[in-house]
Order: sequence, then structure tokens, then C-alpha cells
Amino acid sequence: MIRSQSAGGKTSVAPEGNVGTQEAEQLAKAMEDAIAQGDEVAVDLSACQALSSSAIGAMIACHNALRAKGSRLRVHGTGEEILRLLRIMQLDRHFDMA
Amino acid sequence: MNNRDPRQPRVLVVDDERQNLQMLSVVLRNEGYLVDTADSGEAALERARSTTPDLVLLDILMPGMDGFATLERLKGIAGASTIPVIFLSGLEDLETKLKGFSLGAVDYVTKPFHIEEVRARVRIHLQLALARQSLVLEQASRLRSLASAQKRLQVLPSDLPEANFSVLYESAQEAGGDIYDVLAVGKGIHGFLVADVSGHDVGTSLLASAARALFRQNTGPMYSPEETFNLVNRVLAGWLPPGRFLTACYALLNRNTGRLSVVGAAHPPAAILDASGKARSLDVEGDVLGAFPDARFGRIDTRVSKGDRVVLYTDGLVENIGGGRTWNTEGDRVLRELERLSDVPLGELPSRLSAGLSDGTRDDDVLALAFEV
Repeated sequence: MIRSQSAGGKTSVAPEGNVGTQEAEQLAKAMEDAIAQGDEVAVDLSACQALSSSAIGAMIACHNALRAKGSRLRVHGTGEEILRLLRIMQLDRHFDMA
Repeated sequence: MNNRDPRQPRVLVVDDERQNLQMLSVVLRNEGYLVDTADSGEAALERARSTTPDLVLLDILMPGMDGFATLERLKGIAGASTIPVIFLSGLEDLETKLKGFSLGAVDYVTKPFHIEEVRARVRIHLQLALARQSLVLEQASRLRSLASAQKRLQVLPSDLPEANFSVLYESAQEAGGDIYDVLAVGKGIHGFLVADVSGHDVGTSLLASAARALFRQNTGPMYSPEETFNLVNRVLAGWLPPGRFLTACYALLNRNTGRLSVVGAAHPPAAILDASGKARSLDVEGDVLGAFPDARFGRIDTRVSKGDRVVLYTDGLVENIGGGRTWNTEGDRVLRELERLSDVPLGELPSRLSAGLSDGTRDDDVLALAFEV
């Protein structure tokens, strides 16, 4: 399940549980909508247990769209295992890790 | 390349719009290239026959013979089949690009042109063409045989017995995104590639075969493994759609010197089982391929001895997202299973490994490739 909240030009997207291929599509959609309305985007991973490669793809797409506007994808609430994954994939070098 | 002064390469520019021809000619002449122009596919083939250019910039949308048909004909002309072709077009959709790559184009420039981009791409592809002269013919024939983008060319262990490998590939659905390749880089030197294209739709398998062709084009004795990744990344970053990326692991084994080099792009690490039955992981950090133009790829070099076995695999071998398991937590499980299987013949190792690691809930491609030093 993906929770999404938007206020004051900022959208926070919070995927929950295990984000497989189907959930990743919802995640991508939520982030695309946020970008379309010109928002900054933050991903809250505090309720997330596992990220599939599709979910990571959605985050990269969002990040690159934000990059084009001089911003970055903000990622916070990351648990230890997911943080390890993002570090091995060097994505912590690209995302704004809170 | 021809006998001309190699410092002055010849570029053929093909476009039906006079304005584009003029602009590109001026830009390239100012860079010091000899420039020929053609305003149609037919004229381009005529030119290519008479002058043998070192590189072709080819428009796709032209009246009469379009760029694709021109490229196909060009590939059939003796002496012209290995000329690098960069497509020029306003068409930005993925299918067009994939079609171009599967026909053997080396790169793509989208209209309206950015002069700097055209300059940079022409320069890099001329450098590459020079660097791989000896490999070009072989590569072109391999690319040509990639007649249908969906059809994957798979090297079987029996095709390359001296590489001494075995492989298991189970595609979860039609749209598989895992690829592997085994390349004879030189006598006693072999490259082993395992990669995974993100996503699970029809586009994924198209991307996978295009990516495989790209790796082939950019592998050879004059490239270090990380150079191969840099070149592939540079091309992929220019045309992969947002959200698509590849993870990959490439192992270069030199049996003459007993050296193994491994380069990683955000991929599950290679595992090595030494002849005494002890397994360890070759962890190497690296960015994903195709998402970031400034990507960096780590490399690890290690000594290996006869009888050592190395296993490369994709996340599908160990992951279960629904069960909360991603590949980064499963490395030890792979090592323990490998140690348990130390007496298994090489030919059975990938399937036994897969069976031992499965919990019966797989929904992704499974790829495991093993080779023995």
C-alpha cells in the first residue's frame, strides 16, 4: 500500500510493507503525479520492509525528473536493511538521504 | 579504417533537410573532419561505396529509403558493414531506438541537435572504431545475426568449451529481463557477464537483447572491465526510459596469469568456491547502469587457482520480495549452499544451487552461471 500526502508544494510518499512489482507501479504513479503538479518529493520508508528492483526504478525515475529541475529525491525513515541495499547500489550517493 | 591519414577521419552526413546537412557539415569540418553529405538513402549508399567513410550520421525519417533501410543496405556493402552509424532523428520513442540498435547502430542523437552532443558522440565513436578495428568485423556479424530484437543469442557451454562454464536460465514469463554472455576475449581469457534489466513487461526483453548487444560491442582486449561498463553506461543513459536500469556483474578470467577481475553495477556479488571447498563473496560497489551519466563502477582483482569455481547470479535466485527478502541479505545463504555443493559436477552446479536456494515462491527470472578456473 502507498500513502501519499501533498501540502505546500511538497509531496510525501510512503510505501508500506514489501514493495513488489505491482506496488511499485502505484509508487511510480504517486510520484509521477507529484512531479506533474510541480512538487518536491520525499519518500518515507519507515513502514517499508523490502524494495523490489521495480520500486527502486520508480525512485530513480522520480529522482532524475527532480534532478532536471535542480532538486533531488529525498529519502527518509530508512531501516537498516534497506539502507544497506541503497548503499550497496550506491543510491545514497544520488538521493538526498535524510 | 582506410589508408588515409587516420588523423583526418571522414564522416558521411545523411539528411533530407538541406539546413541540417549544412549545419552539421560546418560543425564537423571545424573539428577537422573530412565531411561528405547525402540527401537521401540511395545517395548515402552510393557515397559509402565510393568513399568508405569512418562514421555515418544517418537521419531516420527520409522520403524514399528511410534510415533503417539504408542502414540495413549499408551493412550489406563489403567494407562498409563495420562503419559506426549514429542515427539522427526527432523520434524519441523507445521502439525506434531499439530498432536502430538491433540493426547495428552504435548511438543515437535526438533532434533538435545540441552541437556539443553531436561533437562528443562523433568523437567517442571514432575513437572506439579506431580502438577496436580488429574486432569490428566479428562484432558486425554478431550484431547482424541479432535479426530480431526479441531473440536472444545465447552462448551454450558446448559452443565455447574452453571457457568451462555451465548456466541455468529460467524465465518467469515471456518478458524476461535477465541476460548472460560468455566471451572469448583472447587465448585463455574469457569474460562472463550476468545482467538484469529492471521491469517485467514486454519492453524488458527488448531492452535485454539490445543491452546484450551493447556489452558485446564494448568488450575486448583493449577495454578494461570498468571501461566496458563506462561505455555501456554512457550509451544506455542516453536512451533508456526513466525508471529503467540494469544491474550487472562482469568477471574477466585470465587463465594464463591466474587473475580474476570483477566489476559490479549494483548487482548481487560473485561468489567464489576455492578448490578446498571454502566459499567467499567478491563484494564490489558500483552504480546501476543506464540511470546516471556520471556513474562509477568498482573493480576487484583476485588471484585464482585451477579448480576454483566462480558463480554469478541475478537477484531472482535468492529474492522473495513478498516474503521481505532482497538479495543483499542473502549472500551468506548462497555461500553456505555453494560449500555444500562442492563435490557436484560443474554442469549440475547452477541447477543444484537454484534448487537448494528456492523456497518455491519464485516470481522472477532465475539466472546462475558457474565457471571453473
